[in-house]
Amino acid sequence: MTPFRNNRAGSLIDVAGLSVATTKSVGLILEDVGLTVQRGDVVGIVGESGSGKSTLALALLGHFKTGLRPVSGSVLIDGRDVVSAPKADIVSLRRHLVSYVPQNAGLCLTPTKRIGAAIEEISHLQGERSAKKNRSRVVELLEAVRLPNAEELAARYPHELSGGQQQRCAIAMALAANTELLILDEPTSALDATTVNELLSLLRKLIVERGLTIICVTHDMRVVARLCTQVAVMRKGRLVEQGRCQAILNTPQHSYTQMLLSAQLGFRARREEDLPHSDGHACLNVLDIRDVTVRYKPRSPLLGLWPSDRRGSAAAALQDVSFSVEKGRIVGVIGESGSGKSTLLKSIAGVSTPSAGEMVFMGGEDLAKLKTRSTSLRRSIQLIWQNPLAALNPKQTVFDAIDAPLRLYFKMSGTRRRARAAELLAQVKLTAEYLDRFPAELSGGQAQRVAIARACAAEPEIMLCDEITSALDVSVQAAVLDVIKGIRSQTGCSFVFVSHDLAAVASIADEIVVLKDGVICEAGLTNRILHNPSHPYTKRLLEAFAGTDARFSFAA
Amino acid sequence: MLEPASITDGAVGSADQKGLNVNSSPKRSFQKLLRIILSTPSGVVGFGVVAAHVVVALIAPAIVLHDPLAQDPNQIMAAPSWTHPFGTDLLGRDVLSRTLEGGRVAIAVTALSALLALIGGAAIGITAAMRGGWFDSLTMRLVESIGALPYLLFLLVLANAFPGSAFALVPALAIFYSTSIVRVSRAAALSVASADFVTAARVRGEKAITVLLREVLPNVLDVVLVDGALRWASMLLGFSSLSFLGFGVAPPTPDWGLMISDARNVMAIAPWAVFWPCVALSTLILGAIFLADAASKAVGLQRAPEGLNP
Amino acid sequence: MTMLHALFSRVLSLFLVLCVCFFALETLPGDACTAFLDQDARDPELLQICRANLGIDQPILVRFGEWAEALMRGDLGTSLTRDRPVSEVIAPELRNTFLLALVSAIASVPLSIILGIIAATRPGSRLDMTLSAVFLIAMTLPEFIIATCMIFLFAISLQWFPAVTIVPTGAPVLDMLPNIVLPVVTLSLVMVAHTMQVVRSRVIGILESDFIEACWLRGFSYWRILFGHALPSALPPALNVIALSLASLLGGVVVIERVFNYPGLGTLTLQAIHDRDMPLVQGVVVVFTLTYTGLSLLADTISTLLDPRAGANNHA
Repeated sequence: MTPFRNNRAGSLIDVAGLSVATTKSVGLILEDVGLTVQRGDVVGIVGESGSGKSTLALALLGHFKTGLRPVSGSVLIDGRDVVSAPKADIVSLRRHLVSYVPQNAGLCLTPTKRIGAAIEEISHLQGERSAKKNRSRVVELLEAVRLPNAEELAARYPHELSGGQQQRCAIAMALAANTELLILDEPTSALDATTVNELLSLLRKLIVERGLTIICVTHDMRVVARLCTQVAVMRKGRLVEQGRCQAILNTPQHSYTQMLLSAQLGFRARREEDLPHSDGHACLNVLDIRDVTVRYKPRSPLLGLWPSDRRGSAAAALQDVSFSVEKGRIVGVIGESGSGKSTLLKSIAGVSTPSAGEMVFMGGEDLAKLKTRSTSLRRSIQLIWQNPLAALNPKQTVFDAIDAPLRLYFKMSGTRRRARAAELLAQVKLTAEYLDRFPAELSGGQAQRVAIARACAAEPEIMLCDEITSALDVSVQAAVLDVIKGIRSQTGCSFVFVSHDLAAVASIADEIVVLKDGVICEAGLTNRILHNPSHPYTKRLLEAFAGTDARFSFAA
Repeated sequence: MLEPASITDGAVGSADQKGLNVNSSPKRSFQKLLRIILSTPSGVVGFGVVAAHVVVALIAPAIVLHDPLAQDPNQIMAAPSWTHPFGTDLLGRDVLSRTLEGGRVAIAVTALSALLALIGGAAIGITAAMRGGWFDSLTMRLVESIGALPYLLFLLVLANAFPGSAFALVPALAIFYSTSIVRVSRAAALSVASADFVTAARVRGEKAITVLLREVLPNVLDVVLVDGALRWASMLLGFSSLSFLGFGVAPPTPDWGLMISDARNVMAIAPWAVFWPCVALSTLILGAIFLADAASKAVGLQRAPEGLNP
Repeated sequence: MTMLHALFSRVLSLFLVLCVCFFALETLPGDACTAFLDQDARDPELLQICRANLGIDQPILVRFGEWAEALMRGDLGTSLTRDRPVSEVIAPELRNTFLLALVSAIASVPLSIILGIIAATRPGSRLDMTLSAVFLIAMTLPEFIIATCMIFLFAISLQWFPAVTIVPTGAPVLDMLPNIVLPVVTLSLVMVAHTMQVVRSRVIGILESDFIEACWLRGFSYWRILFGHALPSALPPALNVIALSLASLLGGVVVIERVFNYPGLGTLTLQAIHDRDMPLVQGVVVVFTLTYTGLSLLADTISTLLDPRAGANNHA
């Protein structure tokens, strides 16, 4: 028998005083971490990027990424220390006791192996030599993770599956090892809200049916609330708080936990009076969108010789979409990936052109093609992108970036522009010393603030925000949203705020537009939509977001 | 260069505190590139060797002890001595003087061709990426076709049609060796052209030329320069082969390839007449490769030279 | 679909190449008559008679038509200086060069794959460094310098092999064998130098990728990971690059044949260029281009057959 299959009594995982350092410097990635997990526990390890949560999860498998080394402490799995264990024991540990579902499942499946073969391989390593039994086991496992057409799916290669399917296959591979401990690394981060829902219910089913012990690494408190029995909160390599899930969610002790929770749940405090009052006069619409339809034209393959692809010829990305943005208002657009929300923003910004309908700016100018837009119109509409590091030229300093609209739209002297750029940075809560930095020297949150400052530099009437918080950590998200609110109150600029993150939209938008498959399901004031949704899809979205946990519902 | 400490800082600390102690004055990207190249041993060696070769080629006529063309019938294939430190060749010419001057034509021709290939190739590649459509398809088809040509044969035919003037090969060398630069710059520009910051500049209403010069070019230049250095090394290989075959530099002029070809048959008697031009040529090419390698690491490509053919 | 597409685009490329080849060669100053008559070429009348005799006084488009039409039939024309069909002149030389190239390829492809894998599995080790250094030097040195070193070492110093080939073109293959040892070693060295790094860097790239780390975390053994997971992903693209490198390295045959005085296509080409025997040069160019196209098609086929993603990438 393997050295890891005894000692039924006692805790399954016992991490004590674990510190992990980089090989090159003195900084610690994990510092004096202690964690005990009993059999049958479902433990959530929560933290932001760089908190060391993934390092901790991998340490449970006896693995440290290149450049990392354990400096002290022990990781006891079933009573055996894996930090000091010989290689053969580690291999046996991974085969028989702990299995791991990596974060990006798509990149972690061997691209040249069919799904079935990959699962069979693991089953084979478990000692099952009968090919026939292995094959039936593959089907059984694929069905266990609720994948349809298991037989046919087993014959596919990973690249022929969707992200959600890849994730399930990775789970099926982990189950194939028949281990009692399952470690999931950010299982939900790449998935849509409704897909997350399905995944969580699948995991709950597996926990009950198979008596698994699960460690779930995540940044999302909602996942923890809906899955876990225990929670451990990590920050900068330290475990700041751990305990029973209910206790921590209800009465978080550590200020960081409180911050994390409020950042994700704080939008409930929203009141009607937050709305900027229109002053009774004729309400000016900054933007009117009327019956806009966008179709993607198939690219004509001139000289490309035999087009290899003729699919997707006339599917509409947007169908008859109409809504208005009043001056000073923030309109949130929510929808899952593929709902057409980004296409909508791109049409307004002029990156793509609608095939039908009209978009009217300030009651007068028509936003037709980008080429025909006047300079002042271009100035008035500014776009902020999802990934700030992609939206900033890596070869330009922060000043160059903010200077571009100043140079283009305003006649100002060089010194004046620099002063103005510093002012704009102050508006997004950055100091003037950042002016000479390059984007690579900024964190994600800082870069996004610079991108916002660049948009502000144009002194626009309306800013289009495309998922501007989804690439950022939770605590940074809140700060960026505050910056947006600040700009709105200072400049009276309107916003269209597109996101799949209901929490972010709910906390900032005055009105919400719900998009599904290119069509508007429902639109209205934020409170009305959140508390009294009329469309079934909106209800489903809200449910997917909140689950059954009362703490996360939007009820007042 | 990032300090190791700042890396861990970024990993451990809250992301918003990352990189506070970075030297923040803006640097010209070329100077920066050179500085990083010179921070690696292979970069120092490569740069030093290439620079030394270029300097020697420039001042060779002023420093040689003997006329490289002067034949001394009394000193045929003389072993190295104080008067002829590298010995003499089949016609009694001083090998040291000939070796010192032997790189002039090759370096001038290939450097000129490399420069042409670099500018032309990058211009075509970037334009193809930015314009797309038929222009792009046509360019790529053309590049593919030129790549399929046996370039050495064409260069030989061309050299034979214009005997004695090595500079007539410049356009052909530039065309054959620019295919890789076109590919590389197009690929780099394609990845940049779809980047959000380029779209942002377009939406903002910047002129096409501004977008090209301010947004795209700076992000493509590194990669193109690295490939240009590799192509130069590759051209040196190709041109010296032409000379060796008797189709490059016309005979009385000293040239390494030609010297090796001439002295090869008497290698058993006068190995020094072969040895020194071999050393000169190989150090120059190796230096250029080292330089390109260091440059590619400096711009973060981490690519080992995957073949030197055009 | 993908295969057809590749084939069609190759055929079109080939056609373009052949057109370029014809016009480039024909429009250059100097022809067989100026080469043959040498000093007498200054006499326009004599030149005219000579050209009429050889049939190269026709307008270029007419000659292109004739050439292309003949090429379709597989006829490469008649050599101007040897007065025999080009294909007949080329055939025996082609056999010799083919022998040289084939033996080199057979030796170098497996060698570069094996060495590449060995180096990749021990990156930074002394063996890896040594292999990298040796082949970096072999790659950067011109073929004629390597060949010259070979001759100096094995033919002059050790006297193991003949320095130059002394057998005639049509000699039986067995007689050729001792003569091809040094050329083959030289050519293989250059080929391995160019391709080993490709294999090495691809394998290293794959070994560092996420799915290999995932395999470690599943408790797979080293050999299972290397042979079952890493190599099937790394080798098809590497083979693709290898086939292309081999194709473009064929040009080096000209130099190597010249150094070893080996009777083959390269030596013939140099002679033909010197004589400005354009039909012969064109014939050789056609042979080289066909070889290149064939090899690159082979490269495509290899990656399409071995890599499940190759077909999908074109559709994306």
